[in-house]
Amino acid sequence: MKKQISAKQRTETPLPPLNFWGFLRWTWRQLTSMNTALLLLLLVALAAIPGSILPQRTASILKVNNWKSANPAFADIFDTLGLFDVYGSFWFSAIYILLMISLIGCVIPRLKVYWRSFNEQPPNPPLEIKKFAGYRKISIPKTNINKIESILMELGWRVNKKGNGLTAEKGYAREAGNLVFHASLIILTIALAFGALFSYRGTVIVKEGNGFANTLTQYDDFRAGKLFNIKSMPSFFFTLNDFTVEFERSINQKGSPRKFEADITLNDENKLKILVNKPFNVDGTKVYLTGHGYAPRIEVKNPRKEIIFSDSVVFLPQDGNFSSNGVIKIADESPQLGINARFLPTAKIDPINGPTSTFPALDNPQIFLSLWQGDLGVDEGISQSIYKLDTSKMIELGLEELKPGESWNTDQGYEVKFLAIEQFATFQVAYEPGRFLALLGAIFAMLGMFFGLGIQRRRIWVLMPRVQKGPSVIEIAGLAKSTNHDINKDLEKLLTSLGVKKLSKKGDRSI
Amino acid sequence: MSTNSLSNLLVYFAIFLAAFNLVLFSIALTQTKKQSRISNVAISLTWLTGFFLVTALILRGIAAQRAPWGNMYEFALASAVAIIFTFLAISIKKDIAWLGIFIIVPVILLLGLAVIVLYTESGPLVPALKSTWLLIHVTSAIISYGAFTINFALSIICLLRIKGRLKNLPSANRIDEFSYKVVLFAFPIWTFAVISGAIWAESAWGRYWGWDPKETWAFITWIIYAAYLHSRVTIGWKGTKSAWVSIAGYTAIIFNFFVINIWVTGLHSYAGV
Repeated sequence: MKKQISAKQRTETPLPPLNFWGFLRWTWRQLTSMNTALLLLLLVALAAIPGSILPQRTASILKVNNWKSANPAFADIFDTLGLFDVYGSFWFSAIYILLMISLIGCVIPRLKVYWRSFNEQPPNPPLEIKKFAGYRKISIPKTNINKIESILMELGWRVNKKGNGLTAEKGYAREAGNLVFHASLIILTIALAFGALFSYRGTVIVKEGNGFANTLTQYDDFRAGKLFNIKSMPSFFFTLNDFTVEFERSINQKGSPRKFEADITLNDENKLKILVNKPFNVDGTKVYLTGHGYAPRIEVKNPRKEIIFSDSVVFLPQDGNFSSNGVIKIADESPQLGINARFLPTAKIDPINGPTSTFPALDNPQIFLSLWQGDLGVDEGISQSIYKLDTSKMIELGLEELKPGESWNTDQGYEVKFLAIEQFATFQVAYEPGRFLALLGAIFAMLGMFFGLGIQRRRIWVLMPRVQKGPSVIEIAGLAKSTNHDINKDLEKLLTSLGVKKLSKKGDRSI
Repeated sequence: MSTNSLSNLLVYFAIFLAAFNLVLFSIALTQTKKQSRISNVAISLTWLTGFFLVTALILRGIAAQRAPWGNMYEFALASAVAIIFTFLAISIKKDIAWLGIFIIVPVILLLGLAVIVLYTESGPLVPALKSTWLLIHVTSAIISYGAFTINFALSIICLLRIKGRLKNLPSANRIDEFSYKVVLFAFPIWTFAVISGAIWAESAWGRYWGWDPKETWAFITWIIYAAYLHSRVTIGWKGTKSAWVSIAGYTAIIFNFFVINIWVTGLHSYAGV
C-alpha cells in the first residue's frame, strides 16, 4: 500500500516552475522522459501509416493527381496537410526530430552513469544472503576465498572481496550495447537527413543508339535535396548500344520478364553491361537500369512529298504486355500535325476491348495511328507533356493500323510510314551521399542490439563463514537485474569450476 | 509425377496431418498431466508435418532451380515452416504441448490460404528478385515472422490466463516472461531483415529507403516491437498491456503480408502474388 502511494507521487507531473530556466529544465525533463519517448515512438508509427495508403508525390506524381481528381472533396485539405508527401511533411519531421532529441536526452545521462559504474567496484557483500535467488549452502573441495576470487575473475566477473565474502558482477556489455545501439540510431538518422539534403536522383529514357550525358537538361525527371549543389554532379556520358530483354513463354507466369540487359559504352571508352541488380558507379553516382519499352521509328511526309518527321519515338508501356502509347507532334508544319498512336508488340483484336497486346515480345507488332491536323497548342507558352496530344483545337484526319514496313497514304496526301521498331531503356541516376554512414549506423545498431538484448546484468555473492578444516562450506546466491535471466546457471557454473561434481542436472522443462 | 505436383501433394498431406493434430492438441490441452502420452504423439506428428512442408518447399526450389521464396505462395509455405520449427525447437527443451493448438491453428489457416488463394505454379524469378540478398533478406523475414507468430499466440494465451481461463496452462506471469523471450529472439532478426532489405533495395532500385508501402509497414512493425521492449524494460509494463502491444505488432505484420502485398501497389508487388 505504501509502495503504491509513493509510486503515484512519483508519476504525478510537477507543474512547471515560473521562471525561464526552470521552465526550460521542466520541458527538457518531460521531453526526455521514457513515457514521452514511448508516446513519440507510437506517434511515428501512426504518422507513417497515411503515406502507405495514399499515393505519394515521391513515388508517382501521376497517381497523386489521379487521386486528387477522383476525390475533389478531400484533395485540397489533404494537400495542405502534406498527406501526399507524408515523409517530407513538417509534422512527420517534427515527430522524428522530437524523438531524436528525446533519444539524445536519454543516452547522454546514461553514458555518464555507465562511465561512473565502469570505474566503480561492485558494492560490498551483505552479511546475510538467504533471501536472494538461488541461495544455497554447499560444501565444496577445500579452497579459500582468494581462490574463488581468481576463479570468478577468470570467468569474466568483476569482483569486490571483503573479508570472507565477495560480490561479483557481470554483464556490463549490456548497457554498452544499449548505448551503442541508441547512438547508432542517431547516426543513422543523421545519415538519412544528410542524404535527403544533398542527394539527387533522376530518371532518363535512352533509345538504342542514343546517349546520355549527366547534365540537368538531359533528365526526363529530376529531384534533388534542398542543399544539392550542381557541382556535385560528376560529368560522364554513355551510349546505349544494345538492349536485350527476354520473357517467359511457358503458360505459367507467361510474359514475366526473365532477363534485362543493357550494353553501354561509358565515356567512349569502357563497354559495360548493366543488369537490374547491377548498377554502375561513377564517383559515387550510381546508374541503375529500371525499365524499358519500345520506340517505333516513324516517318511522315507532307502532300509535297517532303519528309517532315523521321525519328524513333518513345512509347510508354501501359500494361504488363507492353501495350504502349506514344505521341508525335509536328509543330513546324503548317497546319500543325499530331499523331496519337498505340503500339502493340503482339497485337490481337479482342472482340470486346478492341486491339490489345497479349505478349510483351515482338511476335506480331502493330501500330494503331490517328492523324490530327490543327493547332497543337504548343505556342501558348504553357509547358506540355510530350506524351500527351491536346486535340481540343484539332480535327482527326483518319485512323490506320500498320505493320513494320507498311505505310499509310491519307486522303489529304500525307504519308505515314512505320519503318522499324527500336527499344529504349530507362535509367535511374542516383547520388546518395549519406549511404555509407547509414550502413555503418545500421551495422553498429545491430551489434549494439545483440549485446544489449543478449547479455544480462547480474550479481552473485559468495560467503565463506569462517576458516574451516576439511571441505569448505560456502553460501552463494545471486540477483539478476532483468527478470528473464536464470541466475542459477551462473551459480552452477561457479560450483562446477570449484570442483562440485554432482549437480542436479535434470533440466527444468517448464517454461 | 513432376516435382511440382509432388510438392503440392506433400502440402496437402501436411494440412491433413495438421488438422488431425488439432484434435490431439485440443485433447492435450484438457489434460492436467504435464507430459501426457497424447501430447508426445502430437509433438511427433508436428515433426512429421514440418518435414513434409520442408520437403515440399525444397521440391519447389528444385523445380524452379532457386531459393523457394519467390512469390506469396512460397512465402506463406516457408512462414508455416518457420512457425512449426520455432515451436519444435522450443519443444526440445521445454514442455509446450499446451501451446500446440495455438500454433497449429495459424499454420492451418496459412496453408489453407496458400493452397486456395495464393497458389501459383513454380517458375523462375523476375530479374529484380535475382540476387543473393533474396536469400538473406527473405530468410530472415520468414524466421522472424515465425517467431512473432508464436509471440502472438502467447500474448493471446496470456490475456486468456489473466481472465482466468485455461487453468491447466502455466501461470500468466510465466507465459508473459516466455513471450518476452520470444520477442528478444525475433526482434534482432527482424531488424536484420529490414537492414538487409535496405541494402538490397540500394542495389536494385538505387535507394536504401524509399518509404515504399512494404518498407513503411516493416518500419511500423519494428517501431511497435521496439516500443514493446522499451515499455517492459524501462517503465515495467507486462501482462495485459504488453500483450496488447505485441498484438498490435502482429497486426502490422499481417497487414503488411496480406493487405499491402495484394491491394497496394508498390515495388514489392511484382512477385506474381
